[in-house]
Amino acid sequence: MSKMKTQNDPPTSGSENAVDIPQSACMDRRILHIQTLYEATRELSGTTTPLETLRTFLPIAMGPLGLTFGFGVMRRGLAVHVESLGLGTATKDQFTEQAEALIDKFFPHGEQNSSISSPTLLAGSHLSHSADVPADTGAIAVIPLDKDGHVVLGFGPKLTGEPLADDETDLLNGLVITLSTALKKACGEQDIKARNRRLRTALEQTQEARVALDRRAFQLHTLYEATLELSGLHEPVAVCDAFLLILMGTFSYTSGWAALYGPNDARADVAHRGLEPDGLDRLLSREGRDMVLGRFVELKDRMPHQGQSALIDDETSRASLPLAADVAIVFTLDNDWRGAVGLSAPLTEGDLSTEMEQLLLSLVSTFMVTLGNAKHIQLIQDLNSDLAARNVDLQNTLDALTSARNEISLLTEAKEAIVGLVRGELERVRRPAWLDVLLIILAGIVLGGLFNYSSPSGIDLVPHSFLGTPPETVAAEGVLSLASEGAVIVDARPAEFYQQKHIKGAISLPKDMFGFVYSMKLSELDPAIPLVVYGRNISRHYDVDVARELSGLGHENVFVFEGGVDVWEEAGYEVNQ
Amino acid sequence: MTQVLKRLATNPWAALAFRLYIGGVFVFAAMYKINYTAEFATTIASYQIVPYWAVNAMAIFMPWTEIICGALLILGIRVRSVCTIIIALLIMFTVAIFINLLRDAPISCGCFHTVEDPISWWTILRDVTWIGMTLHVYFFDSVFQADQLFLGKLKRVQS
Repeated sequence: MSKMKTQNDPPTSGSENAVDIPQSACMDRRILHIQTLYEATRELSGTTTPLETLRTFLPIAMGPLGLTFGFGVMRRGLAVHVESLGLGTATKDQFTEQAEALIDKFFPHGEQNSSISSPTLLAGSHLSHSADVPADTGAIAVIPLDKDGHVVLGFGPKLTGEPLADDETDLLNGLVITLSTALKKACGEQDIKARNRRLRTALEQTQEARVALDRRAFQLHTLYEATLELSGLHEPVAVCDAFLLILMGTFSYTSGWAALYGPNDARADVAHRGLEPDGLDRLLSREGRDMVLGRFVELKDRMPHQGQSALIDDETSRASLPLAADVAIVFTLDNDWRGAVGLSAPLTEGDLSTEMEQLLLSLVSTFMVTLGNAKHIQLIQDLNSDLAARNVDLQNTLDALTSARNEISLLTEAKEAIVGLVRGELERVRRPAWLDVLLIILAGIVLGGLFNYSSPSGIDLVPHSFLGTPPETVAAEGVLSLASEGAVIVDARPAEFYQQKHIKGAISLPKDMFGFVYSMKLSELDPAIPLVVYGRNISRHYDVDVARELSGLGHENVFVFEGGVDVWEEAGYEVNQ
Repeated sequence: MTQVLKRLATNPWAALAFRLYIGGVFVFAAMYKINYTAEFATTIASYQIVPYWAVNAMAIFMPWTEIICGALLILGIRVRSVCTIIIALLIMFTVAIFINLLRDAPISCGCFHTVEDPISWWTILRDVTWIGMTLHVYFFDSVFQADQLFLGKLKRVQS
């Protein structure tokens, strides 16, 4: 603060000297000062950097005033620059070491709002005693540039040893203001240049990033298109063919091939596009298969694991593939399926860039995923077909089982029926059955009837005495009357009954011995003599049978006495016993 | 002793012997009656029990019923049903003989032949004995029955 006060010190003896100076000389000094300011302005306007401005300013300010030395300390951010003119080497070195302390004295480090906001000049003899500046320093100017930029200037005494006059102080003050303006301009230009450089750098980086983004977008778009196109395919061969077209289009190759080999020799899915007419045959051949799979053996530890791929960067290895390949990738789908993709005959010269190689690997990864899906779909289809066949077999088996079950049910029912029948029959056998009795009697009737009908000794089913016209009958009294007229009484019963009891005077003429007895006893009898026949019981009508026989032999008066010997005896007539 | 007698009385082999005997008697008796139907009709009539219009029919059919029953009894087919018929016939014969014994009818049995000794109480005893044998067969016969042998084999199907 004491130094600021110095700025307000009363005019020194210099102004008194001005009174003594003639008017023309005064005008010349004024003109000189104005020219000095003009020159300073012109010189400083040509500088481009603050340091150059400071370096240019020191001789411009010291020359017209005849100062013995001058110095300037400028701090921009953390950098401190010291410029001096007229200082001895030792003094300069010593001052350089404490230059930053001098700036900190006016612009304390870290304080954002300093009390000095405009260029300020301090002049006076008291400055020569300050330890922060070289000895004999007669004026100090402080210039704030911006929040991180400050300048402190110091000037020595005049060569004449006289102190600075007022007009000289004004000139110095004007020069400091000019310097401040030039420094701010230089700082601004420097900042603008720095910003321009940063902007340019940022622009370049942005352009590079845009190019990178474009490439990435192209890669992603390619991947998207490839994924979209491949995802609609479910046949491995179709996937290989479509992928080959994508690769050839993306990387500008005119020929290519893709091969996928399964666990046994018969399984392979290949695709080929290009000029080689026998490409497919070579890929499908045993040699082609061995050549591709041989690369996996060759890779050994670097062999891609399941779901991975590897770029063959060795030209010799690529030459060992079944078809030409400027770019070749081998991949492993799973433990059983492995394959390779090759591209040849590029439209543009040169190898693939790293990014294109990454894109190629990404596309191959997409291809492997799609191929794996196609394989899985194919496996699922095969499994479904197998399952359908098994379902048919199972259905047939179920039908056979159902039929067998129905048959078993029928057989079981039949068995139950048979068992029930057997059980019923067993029960029926153990007890008498009216049906059996009826059947046996019926069988006897049928057999007896048939036998009697067919036998020569068969008899009438119903006796003649039941069917024929009954002969004339007489009562007991009639018999007695006829007997008195000479009628012959005939006992028709078997001889045993006759011997047991018969009507007195009756003769025995049994039906069974009719012919023999008739010839012995009645053959000589007059046919006109009445004959009275008796003898019947519940089972036989002997009288009727014998009466018919007698009538048949010509006897005209044959009568039947139905009552027989019992009625005869009951009537009180005589019988022989 | 009682158990032994009971065992003997219920012996199925005795029932088999009775069965064969009764069956043989009926077959033998029927053979004559079938060959001499007219004589048999006279025999039936001599009992004076059957109505005269039914005598011939009975003489024709009854011998065949007897021979069928005798054959089935020998073979062991429907033994109990056959025994029922035979018992009914024997009872009928016995009753007829009994009635004619009471009548003092001078007739022969006619069981096996037309010319036989006249019926007597021995005839009743013989028929009663045959009824007893038939009842034994009815209740205790169980061996060599043809239908049971056949059905017994079928019964094993169940198990």
